[in-house]
Amino acid sequence: MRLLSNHTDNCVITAVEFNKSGDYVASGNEKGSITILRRTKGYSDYNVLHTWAAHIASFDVLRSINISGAVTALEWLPFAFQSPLLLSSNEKTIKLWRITESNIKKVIYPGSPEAQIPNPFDLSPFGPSPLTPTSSPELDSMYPMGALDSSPPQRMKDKKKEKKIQSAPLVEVLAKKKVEAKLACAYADGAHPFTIHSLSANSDGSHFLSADDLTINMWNLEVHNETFSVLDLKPENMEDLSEVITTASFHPIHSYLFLWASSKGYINLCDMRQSTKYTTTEFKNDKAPQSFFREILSSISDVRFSKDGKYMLARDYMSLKLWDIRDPSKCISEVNVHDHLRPKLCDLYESDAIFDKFQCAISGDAKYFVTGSYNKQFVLHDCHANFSTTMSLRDFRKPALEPFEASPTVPTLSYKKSKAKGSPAKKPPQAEQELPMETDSQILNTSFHPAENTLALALKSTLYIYTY
Amino acid sequence: MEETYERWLSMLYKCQTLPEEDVKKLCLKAREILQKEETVQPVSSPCTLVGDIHGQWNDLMELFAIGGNLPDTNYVFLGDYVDRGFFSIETVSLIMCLKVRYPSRIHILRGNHESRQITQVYGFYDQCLKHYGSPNVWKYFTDLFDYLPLTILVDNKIFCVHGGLSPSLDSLDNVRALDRYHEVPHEGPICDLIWSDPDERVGWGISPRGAGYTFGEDITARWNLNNGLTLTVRAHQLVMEGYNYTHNNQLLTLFSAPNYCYRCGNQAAIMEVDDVFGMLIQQFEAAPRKKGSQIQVTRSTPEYFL
Amino acid sequence: MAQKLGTVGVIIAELKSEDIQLRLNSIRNLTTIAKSLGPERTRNELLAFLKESLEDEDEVLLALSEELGKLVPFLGGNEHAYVLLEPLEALSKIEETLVRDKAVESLTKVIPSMTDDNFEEHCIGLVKRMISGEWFTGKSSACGLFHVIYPRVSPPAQTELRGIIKTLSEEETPMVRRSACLHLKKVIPSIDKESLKKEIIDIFKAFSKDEQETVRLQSVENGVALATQLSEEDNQQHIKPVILACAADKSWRVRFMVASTFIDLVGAFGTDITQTDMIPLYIKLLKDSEAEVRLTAVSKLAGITQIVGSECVSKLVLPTIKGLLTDESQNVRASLASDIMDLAVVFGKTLSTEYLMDFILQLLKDEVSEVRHNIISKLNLITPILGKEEISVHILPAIIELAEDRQWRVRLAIVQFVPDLALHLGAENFNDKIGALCMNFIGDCVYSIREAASVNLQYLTKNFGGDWFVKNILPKIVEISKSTNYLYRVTSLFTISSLVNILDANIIAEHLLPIVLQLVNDKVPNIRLNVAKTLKELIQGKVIESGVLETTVKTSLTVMTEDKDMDVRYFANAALQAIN
Repeated sequence: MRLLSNHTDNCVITAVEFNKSGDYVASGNEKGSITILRRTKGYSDYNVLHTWAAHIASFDVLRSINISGAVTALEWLPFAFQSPLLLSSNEKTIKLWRITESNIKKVIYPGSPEAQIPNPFDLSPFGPSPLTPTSSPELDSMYPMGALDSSPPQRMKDKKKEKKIQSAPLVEVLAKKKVEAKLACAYADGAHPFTIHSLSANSDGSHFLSADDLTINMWNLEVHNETFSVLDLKPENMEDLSEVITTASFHPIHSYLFLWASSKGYINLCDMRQSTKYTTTEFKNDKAPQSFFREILSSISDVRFSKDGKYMLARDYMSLKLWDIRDPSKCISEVNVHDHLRPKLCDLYESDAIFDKFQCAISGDAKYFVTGSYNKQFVLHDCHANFSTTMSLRDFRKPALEPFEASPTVPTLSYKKSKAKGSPAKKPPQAEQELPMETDSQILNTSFHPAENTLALALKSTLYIYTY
Repeated sequence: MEETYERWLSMLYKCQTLPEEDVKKLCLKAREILQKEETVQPVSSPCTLVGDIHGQWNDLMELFAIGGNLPDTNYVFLGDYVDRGFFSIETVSLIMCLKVRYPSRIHILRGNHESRQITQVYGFYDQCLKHYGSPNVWKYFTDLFDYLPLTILVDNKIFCVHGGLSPSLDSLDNVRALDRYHEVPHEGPICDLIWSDPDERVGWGISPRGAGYTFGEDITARWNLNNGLTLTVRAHQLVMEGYNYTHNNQLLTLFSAPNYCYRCGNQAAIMEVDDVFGMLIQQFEAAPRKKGSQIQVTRSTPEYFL
Repeated sequence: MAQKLGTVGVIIAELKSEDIQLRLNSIRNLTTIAKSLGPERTRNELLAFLKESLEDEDEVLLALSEELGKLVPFLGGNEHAYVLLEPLEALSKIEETLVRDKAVESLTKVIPSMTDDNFEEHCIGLVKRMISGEWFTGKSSACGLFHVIYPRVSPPAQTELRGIIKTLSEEETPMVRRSACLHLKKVIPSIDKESLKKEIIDIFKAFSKDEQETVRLQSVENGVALATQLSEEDNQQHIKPVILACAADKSWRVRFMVASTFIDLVGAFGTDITQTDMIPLYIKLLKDSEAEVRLTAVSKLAGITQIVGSECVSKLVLPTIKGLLTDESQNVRASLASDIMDLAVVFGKTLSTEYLMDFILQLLKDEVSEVRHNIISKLNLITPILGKEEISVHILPAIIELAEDRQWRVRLAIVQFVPDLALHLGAENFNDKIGALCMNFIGDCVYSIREAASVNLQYLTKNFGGDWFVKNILPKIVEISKSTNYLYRVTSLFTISSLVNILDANIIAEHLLPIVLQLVNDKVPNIRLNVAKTLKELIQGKVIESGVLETTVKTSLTVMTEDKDMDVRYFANAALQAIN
């Protein structure tokens, strides 16, 4: 395992996402900064490429509410551009970023030995052209076109010709690259009355969706000021509100399919082909036992499609559930990740921790699931072996910059495995339950490398890249 | 000068902004006029009373389409020209330019948003900064706002104020005695006039807004009676029908920003007081939405999906 | 001269400025720079420099893409036009779509201006380089060039290009397939029939079955392009089945495309296929489960009728249209309201009266104001067709009912229709009903309607003449000039102003001027200032006899210049100036 970044002045990380090739990981934090990591070589060897302030806190004058800068969602666009494209949002604003690398140029001033390079494009309007009088020969040296491709800052400000002559620079390209996140598009505010929590790119390469608690909007990447509202749960009277959208996502292959999950525990798989009033298939497990917490516990906090689009992995407070998208009648498997919390539900409710939105992720081969928990723990589930491993980042409080392989034989990582005899997985051993609950050290954000056994986990302000 | 004003007006009627230099001139001229107006500015009927506008320029055009243009129709605006809506600069520039061009046809008073402090939070400051690249225009206007009258008295019968009444003020003469040429204070009679709201409970109450008071039917009745008024008209609060008579029909709330903040779904209203003191309420809805800088959220499929 | 050259010098210098605005400004002046440098230096030096400047902000590159397309005349002859290909090629691979599209647009301007010398070599080379890049952007852009290259290259090169089109149509990236599909229709007219049948039809069929609907929906227009080129037999066998499949596509957006290109399809397929397959298909689209599809199909009604004839439509299609009168979607009904009026124009009187009148009357009663509004705002189209009888019996009662509509924009639409209605019924039939209608609007509570009504009176008076005016309108103007509400008194003055150049001077002097002068001492300043404005109009219209002008009018205005109201004084002075 490798601790990657503690990069943002102890700002809590609020979103993490691998891109579709696995070469980049983006993370966003509560202050609105985004950090891009890029793989350099080998497994899990990711380095910080660039950090920038993507979103800032503001005030919505139409609604009189403060808008936090916190990054609420990140989504890489699926197709291979030379410069990767990243969608990001805070509560209200969606932006499209192009991560570019360009050559850094070194400016060489006349007079320096380097400046004696012959100028291949000695171009001036007053040179040998018949149009131009010969009376201003000094202008020939004034505008050496070879120097046109860049200029030092003092040049543009200075209107005096003589000074221009003296400072006309030559430029040398250096090997070092400059990385920038360029704002490719800022989508207009106002399309989302509530906090945006999901962004998802369509496989057609031209569209994406954004979702808040009550609405889902479809956008064209190129159209910043118009959006199509495909779902609006807002009731006539807000007091009648009984469910909210918890997440939404496009299918990775079929551009006409998207899903949204509900706080009531449904996943709705929607087909947009038949009409604008798309047809919906509802996926719901109704086995949950009756209790005061039933509705809260069944609320789905995250759903991910598998890479091939055949499965959906859903996370609710207590479990992970895997669904076949063709079979809404029952889930294929269920992994209980929080059974040990059952006795503590009242406390978790008191502290609001029960509303924590844990994400989940599914490996590229759909063999592994991962999701976070409390006490710096996360659960890695091997679904072929039906085998869950609970691991802790507890021993990584201090930056451990050495790559770290987590396997059952490595004692330094406090992990625990349990051989499952049929689903759900066994309760964790007693020792784990004895630990005091740290509801402020939960791992909420998780993302899987699309092809390899590498995943990204965010704990507070630290991003971990873990390879198993 | 009229030619200059006409030229500015023709730009402002097209929702164009004036250059910074012209805004400065406009504000200086408007200040000259407003400074001479009284804190209880007398106005004669006939006239049309208008509530909050809040930068909803398109809806102000709708209002003129219904109520008529200047100088043919007389107007009394009850404040809150800026903030919230997308076109605060255009709206307040137009209203001030109309005031400068036709000082006796249009009367305007101060709302709680005509202040330095509030405009820095609710949009006007940001719009000025974004549009002009500096806060100068915001400063010209907010300096000008200090000169706006606080109340208007139509034919000695209808008392117009942005917010409501004040426990420190028993008579119109008390209001006339106020020194108004400064920023709206956090408390005291000027603050109350601009911030207070009527309430179903009698007497004075603490305002949930944190400024001004709430006042009951008894307060309104005593105020109207003591000052020989038939009606007190105020704005300041969103009312779904655009108008709302309360306090036994002695108090009228007018709100003239339809679909306030582009989402409240309310109607707007103005009140026409004619030559024989007849009063007609005209309701209207938001102007048909034109494509523009603001976001279009559509329920029908936009072209780019096809 | 020196000044001018100095300016160009600055522009050139600013090409390398750090300030993006200065660079942009220079790029925007690229043709000026090229002109001053002369062709040779433009080709050799300026372009060489520009090729080195392709790492810049998208905004600058967008401008550069556009300006390069304008440089052909400054290169010293079209034989040099090819030098622009290289920088434009680079720009057509840029990641920003706007830049790419603009570069392709410029290429489609530059390529046709190239001379035949080495045309094939340059263009085929260009295409090959564009499609060989690592990223999809070049491939996507290349699709937009085939139609300008294909017609001018040799048959072997054409074969090669068709091969490239096929390769691109099978690309993995959907954006490339989409671009290939989108641009295919432009190159189809240049391809010989044999190749169309052997190669292009297969590509077309593959597109129509693409897994991405953004690709499939573009394929419908290719069907139109192909059907236009091919024989009816080929269409019957190859194109028609694909179109029918598209119309039954699971995705409504593909079905929408069929509906929206329907007129072109019918035109391209010709009579037989239209009769046997297209009309039934149209009826199916009118009943589609998706409102957007129905709405689009409805909007083609008049166009299709023009092709297939009124008889066919009235017999086969109208029964389905009748069902749409109560469509659950108000957008469909609103569109139908507008489209049915266009259809009436094509139908003519007999068929319209027989088939459409009931539809129109039903839509006029629709609960949604937009539906009513759409009928009313097109009533002027059908009044000349239906004739007086039909209008007064059927339309007029519905109009009178709607004159009270609470939506003022519906009332406004009716006001605007009144002149048409009145003109068709004629002055002699300007009966109580329409008269009352006109006059009610003059007294409407909404200013814009009063204003529109007053414009109407001007229009009607112009057509019906002075006597008609004196008999029918004057009494009402007199009445409102005495209203207790100043807003209506103002309206009377507006009306008078608008009639200045319409009525004879003697009618104005006898009937209208007294009304104006009577208001000189009105207690409301707004009236007095409008009296001054109206007098100015009358003076400028030269309709006041000089005796009256010098005495009564001048005296009144002079008094008004001393008015206590500044606006009255202002307009009185303006009117006095008009006399002098």
